[in-house]
Amino acid sequence: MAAIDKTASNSIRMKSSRLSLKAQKNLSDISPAPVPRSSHRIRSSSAEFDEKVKTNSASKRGQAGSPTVSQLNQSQSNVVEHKEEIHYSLFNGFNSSGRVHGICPLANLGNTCFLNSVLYALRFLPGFVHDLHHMYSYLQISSNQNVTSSLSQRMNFLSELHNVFTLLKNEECNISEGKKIPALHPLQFLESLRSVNPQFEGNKQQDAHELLHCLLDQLFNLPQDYVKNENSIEESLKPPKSKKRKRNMKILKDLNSPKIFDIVGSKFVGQMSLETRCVECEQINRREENFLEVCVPVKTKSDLDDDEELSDTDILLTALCTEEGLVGSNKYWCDFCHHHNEAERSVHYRQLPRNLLIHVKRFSSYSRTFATKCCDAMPAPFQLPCFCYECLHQDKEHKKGQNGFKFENAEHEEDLSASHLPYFLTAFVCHLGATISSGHYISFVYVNSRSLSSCLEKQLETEENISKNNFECSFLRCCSSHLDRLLSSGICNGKDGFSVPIPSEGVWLECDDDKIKVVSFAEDT
Amino acid sequence: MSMIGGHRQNSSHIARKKVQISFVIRDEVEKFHRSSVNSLQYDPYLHRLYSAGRDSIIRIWNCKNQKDSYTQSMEHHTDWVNDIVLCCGGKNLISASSDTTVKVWNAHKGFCMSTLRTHKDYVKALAYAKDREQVASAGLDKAIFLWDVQTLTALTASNNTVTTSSLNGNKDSIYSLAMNAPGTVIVSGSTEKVLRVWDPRTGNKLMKLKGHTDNVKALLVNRDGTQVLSGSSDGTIKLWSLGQQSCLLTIRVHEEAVWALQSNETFSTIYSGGRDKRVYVTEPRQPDRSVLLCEEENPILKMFLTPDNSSLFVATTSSAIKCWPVNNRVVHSRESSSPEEDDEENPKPLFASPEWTIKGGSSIRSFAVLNDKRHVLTKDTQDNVVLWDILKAVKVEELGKVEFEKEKQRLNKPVFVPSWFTVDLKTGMLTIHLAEKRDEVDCLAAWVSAKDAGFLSDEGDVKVNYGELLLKALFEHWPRTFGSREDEEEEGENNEDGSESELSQRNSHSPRGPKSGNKYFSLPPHTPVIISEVQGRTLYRLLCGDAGGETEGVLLNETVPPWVLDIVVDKTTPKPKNKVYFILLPHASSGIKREKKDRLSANDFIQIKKVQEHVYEKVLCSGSESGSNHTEKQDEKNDLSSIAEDKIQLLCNEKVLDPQMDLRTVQHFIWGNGSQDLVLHYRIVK
Repeated sequence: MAAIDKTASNSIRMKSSRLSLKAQKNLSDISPAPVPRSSHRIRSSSAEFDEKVKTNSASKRGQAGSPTVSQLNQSQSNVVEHKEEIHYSLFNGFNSSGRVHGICPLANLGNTCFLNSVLYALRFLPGFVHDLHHMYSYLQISSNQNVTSSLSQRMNFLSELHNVFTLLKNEECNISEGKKIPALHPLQFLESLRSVNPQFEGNKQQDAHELLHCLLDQLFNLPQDYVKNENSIEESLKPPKSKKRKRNMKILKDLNSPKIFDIVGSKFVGQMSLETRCVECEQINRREENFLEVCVPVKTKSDLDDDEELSDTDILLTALCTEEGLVGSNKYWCDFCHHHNEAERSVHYRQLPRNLLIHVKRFSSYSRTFATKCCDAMPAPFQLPCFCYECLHQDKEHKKGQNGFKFENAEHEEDLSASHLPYFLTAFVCHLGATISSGHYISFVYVNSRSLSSCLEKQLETEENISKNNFECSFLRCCSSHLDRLLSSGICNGKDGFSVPIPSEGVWLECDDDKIKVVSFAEDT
Repeated sequence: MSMIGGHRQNSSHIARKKVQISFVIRDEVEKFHRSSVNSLQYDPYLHRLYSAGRDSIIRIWNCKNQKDSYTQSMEHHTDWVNDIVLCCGGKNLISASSDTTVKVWNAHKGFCMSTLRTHKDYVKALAYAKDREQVASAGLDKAIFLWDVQTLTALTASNNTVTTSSLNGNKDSIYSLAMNAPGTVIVSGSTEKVLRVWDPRTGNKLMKLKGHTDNVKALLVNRDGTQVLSGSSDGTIKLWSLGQQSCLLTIRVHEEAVWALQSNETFSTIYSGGRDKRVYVTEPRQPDRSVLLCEEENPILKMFLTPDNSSLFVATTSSAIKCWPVNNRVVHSRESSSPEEDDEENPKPLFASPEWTIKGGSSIRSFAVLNDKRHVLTKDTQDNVVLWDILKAVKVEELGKVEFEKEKQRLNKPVFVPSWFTVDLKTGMLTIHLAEKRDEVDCLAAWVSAKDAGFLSDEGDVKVNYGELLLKALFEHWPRTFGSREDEEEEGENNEDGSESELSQRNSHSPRGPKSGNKYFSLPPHTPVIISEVQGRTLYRLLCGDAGGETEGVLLNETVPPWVLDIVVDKTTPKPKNKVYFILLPHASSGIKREKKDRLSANDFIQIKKVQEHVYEKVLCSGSESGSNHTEKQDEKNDLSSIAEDKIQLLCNEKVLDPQMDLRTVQHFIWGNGSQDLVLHYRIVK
């Protein structure tokens, strides 16, 4: 967790902005990976799926569930972006139309758009609420009176977060046709948030990015601290008595073998290595780090070399894998040369998380007090191929191979391909407004009816159609969003009464506090 | 076209950046390179080799006398010398350095004629068109400047501007440059990975050549400007046709980056060297049949093929230069060697040992500043450990090949002195920087008692400031620091005590004004003094002993920063800035009851005995002495301190404190907590 904290703060320090956040995945269909590798992928992910049913070790990315091709190809991404780029990539393609009545909105409690936008994004991040539910219910079962007050505060935070999703679902279940669902006031959650992090006290404008980090940090640290706490208690009270106690112990052991509980660590944290090469002696200095999000500078077509036609994906990839030159007055102190030399700093992603957070750095601060927002449009493709070191490196190898070099990595690739599925954009949080301390947040989320991932608790896969599922995971009854119902019952009616056709592959919603609208593709830009 | 300042730099930008004073601790004559050798040139008429070192020195070697080839040093740069070219038939040498300057030298006599300060960043590469006597310079500021050598050599102090034309278009830092002899084509290699080609006569861009996948650090153009050879950090050597604007041949023989290339005029034999420490010979007609000429012990930075194609000088990241035999002998042995013997993985070099070697010196690779912040322990590439006195800019002792850490522990005393200088090893020698405030190091922060510093003084307990002493010594030959006549007399009186003998001794070897410098010591007059922007350009360099010269005086006036003038000219004594905050409490065993908690502050160099006096006087005897007048006090002073020392004991963390210890040492070594106020307990000794 230390590493995570560090990454987070580094990224902020890096000078740019802190505002907006994320988006995420979708499950459906967007088609698989690039041609040469897609067949490998599907095959090996099915293999992995089979294994998963037996062992508890769970795949990193393949969705269990019924193994349709499209599902297997899903992986997810939270793309954090800023608003301007949305104008570009979305508003060029979508027109906003009527309000949505099937989803329970969140009310603005006074400058709480930062909170709502993050909650919307997390709610529709596939698998997140589900994982949260299990984490919550396990910690709930095993909780006892011996927790310290700060820990119980944080437990309360978790429970309130869970509660928000539960309440939302209840509202949605109780809806009667044609009636508007009243907006939910996430007041209790806000209070629990303030109790764990005083930074959010007062009805001030807050940074959604910081909230997201705070939230994920809490979820990351809580299970571990909880285990620590339990262990220390166990030592003090030697003989465990009741059966319940024993059960707790077992659960806690499970806690140590993470996955289920480590919902942040296992799904949001990736590994990167930062390499600095002195241009003079060409020695490489390498540092490995865990990351919770990737910060990218705003890149547009005009920043890149004009000679080649670049797709949106290429541009984003360039931004993600940017090589930075340490030049001019920012030279690198090379220990080997004992001299300030130019150096090239590059980032390689050793391992990418299942859910990828991308933070677009739109604010650059030239001094402590003054920050400017970069309003250039940045492309945000709906799908992003895996860009880990291995994949990029293989591409290179492959090219070399065509030039007559040997290409020996094919087998290797097949083994690992399951974790190299592409990412799909599932949500993004945008900051509207010109300065860092003002403005408004809205989020765009992608919703479809098959947003349930496998349930590891019972090691049963749930079917995508919830209503037909006999082995219901408790999550479904508790806080799962009833999206199938929403979509299939055609609730997305505009005010005017014309109905918006629901694309079978899902729909994008614009969530602006208590106003939720469908974003639809326009026929032309 | 731009007008630029030549010999003298324009003083307008001095005020903008922080300026620091640096000096180098070294021998008067440094016969051997102290660090890597970046570039080589050879004068076939005089059989002289010129070598440009990262130790900032260009050395001249007499190749006729291989036993003792050192001829002369050309010293004026203050940072790595990256490239040199010999022009005007060997009369002049042009050099490019990381101090951002290009210098023009009289090569025969070895002195610097002028300095060009047009570049804004390290100058990495030079190119020379022999037929037109034109030189081009390029570097990390992405700019290429073209210079007419005749104009450069005619520069004087009064006629100090020169017109240059620049070639623009590079997007990244330039690491290599080449021009053909008639000056019709110039090529640059950069981290942009493309070669850019211009016509230097018109300044027109001719083309870009793409193909390398990494920085290009070595370039050659053939005489008629039709072909270019490039060596890249991607490990390949490429032969390009400028007419076809395409790559004719890619030679993949090196395992790592190619950093050096040489060839004969027609490009029929190519010598390449690089990071893999190997020199290969390749003939483009048979690119697959490269021959390993020799294997060096260090990565190869530069090679020079003598005009008769008989010898190849090789410079590496070590400080030695080796001369390898080449040419016919190579071809010969290649044809005689049967291919079956070739072991693909470990080919045997044609030559196991060089014809001759120009010995290199050791470079300092690591250092430790001792606790007294005056002595520095260093270890060099030959594992020799040396102790230096920074204050006097001299070597104290060569300790030989001993264990560095052990020696450091042995020499370190439990004293604490604030840092006041920074050490820089970029040249392989000790460079010391003094700055007003750099990386939290303030060169005027260190006050110590003269006694502790080993300086005799009759004036009792005198404190000296290390930075002040050193700055005064560095500029003691500068007439402006001599002071006015009255000052001299005044100061002279103060001076007629213990330091008298030392003073006169000092005066015997330096014709300084009667009162300049500090009264304790002088620096070796050969010590180079460098005035530069912090992490930036060098403004001026001179030898400590030369400051009396007229030109030097003018340049010093322009470059010495105000904070130094305050000390060395205006003789302002710096104010102690570092305070120690502490709380005085009666010790539990003393039986003294005192309600008031005294939170006090004192200069960090105040000794415990002063605190004892304070306790005796102000805490224990408060009130009783209020009647005594000033003169009495003065007389009593010495008595008082000895009484106090006898009667009062101070403790910190239950440890009895030595009266000679100063507060900052107590804070650091006994209290050990910099963020909390120091707590001292006192008790009366019976």
